Amino acid sequence: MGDYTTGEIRIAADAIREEANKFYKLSERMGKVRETTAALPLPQSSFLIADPATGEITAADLKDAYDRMHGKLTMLFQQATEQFELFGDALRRAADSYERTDAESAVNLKEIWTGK
Amino acid sequence: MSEEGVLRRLTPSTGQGGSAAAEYMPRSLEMLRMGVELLVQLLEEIRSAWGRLLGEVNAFLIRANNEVQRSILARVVEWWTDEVARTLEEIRQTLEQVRVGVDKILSMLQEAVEKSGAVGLLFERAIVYVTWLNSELSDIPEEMDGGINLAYWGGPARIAYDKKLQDQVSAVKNTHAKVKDTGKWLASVGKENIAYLAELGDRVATISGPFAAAIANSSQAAAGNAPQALFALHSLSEVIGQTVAESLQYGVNLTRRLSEVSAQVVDLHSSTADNSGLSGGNWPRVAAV
Repeated sequence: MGDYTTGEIRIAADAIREEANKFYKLSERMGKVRETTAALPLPQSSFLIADPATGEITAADLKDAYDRMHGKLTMLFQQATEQFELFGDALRRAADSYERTDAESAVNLKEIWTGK
Repeated sequence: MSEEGVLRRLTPSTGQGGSAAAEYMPRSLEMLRMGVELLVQLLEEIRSAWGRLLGEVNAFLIRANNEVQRSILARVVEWWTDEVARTLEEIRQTLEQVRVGVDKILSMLQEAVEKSGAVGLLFERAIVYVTWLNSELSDIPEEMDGGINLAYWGGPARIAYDKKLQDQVSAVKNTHAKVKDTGKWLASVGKENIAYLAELGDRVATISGPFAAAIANSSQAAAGNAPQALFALHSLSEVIGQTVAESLQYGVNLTRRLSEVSAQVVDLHSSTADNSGLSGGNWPRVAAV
């Protein structure tokens, strides 16, 4: 860190805060992705077709396969929304820490990424 | 219905993705619904014709039986009158058994076709996956790239940031692949289901011909035309034979259908279980140190 001037550190801190804001916006976008995905359930009837003898079984198998994927995607997008928000928070802390410790040689990585 | 109306009907309530996906919604889906309605109507007509055919053949059998009974009462009993009476009774009993079987087959076909209308929903969902969701997720990794001024940021914190950023990008790429797989899978399942429906339509069309011929003959029989009565019985056997043959073909196709469905299920499970770029199946946690 000692290799950077105060001016360069300020530029870097601003750039890090911009990244933080970008992640807050990405979190909002991911929230919309989650909302859209969550609104895509499919009833068993949409998989049910033509074979009355085994139709219920094949439709149940196909619906189960879709439900697993749909559930996993919805869960992952929910987690992504939260993690992007946390990423933004971590970058803000990184910017603050970078400015604050410009005279020192180390920053507390754990504090930056966990907030603790 | 206007084009706008068709699109509105086909647009699922899917938040952000719904309105965007409407732009891509094929009008063929509305045609599919209309095709299913036509098949249902055709089957309804066949069932109605089948009922009339049975009624008229039964009327012929009763009338023929009455003739035989009158001959007996008139003491003009010949050796063949008993024989004819027995034959007529056997035909009547066989007809009753066949009626139950054909009714079951027709009900099965009708139920299958009526339930097929919902297949359009698979394409509606597929379009949201391959358009709006696909587009959103494909843009995100590029947007996650850091700005140029981050070049002034160095040290351990920067190294940790680069690693964690890469984890997030990898996770986005994993879900992007899953979204594309799901969209293509839904379209593929819908396509197979429609192909199966088309085969069903062919079978309905195949049995409708003999029904039409049988009805023409039976109307003559009911009018008292004895030779036509024999034709009516012959036509009836053709109808039964054709219906049973189509039913058997239906059974043969079921085996193919079951293997296709199994392969489809395996395909999607494979994509669902692919956790590359994720953290034990979950989104990588920022706080993990």
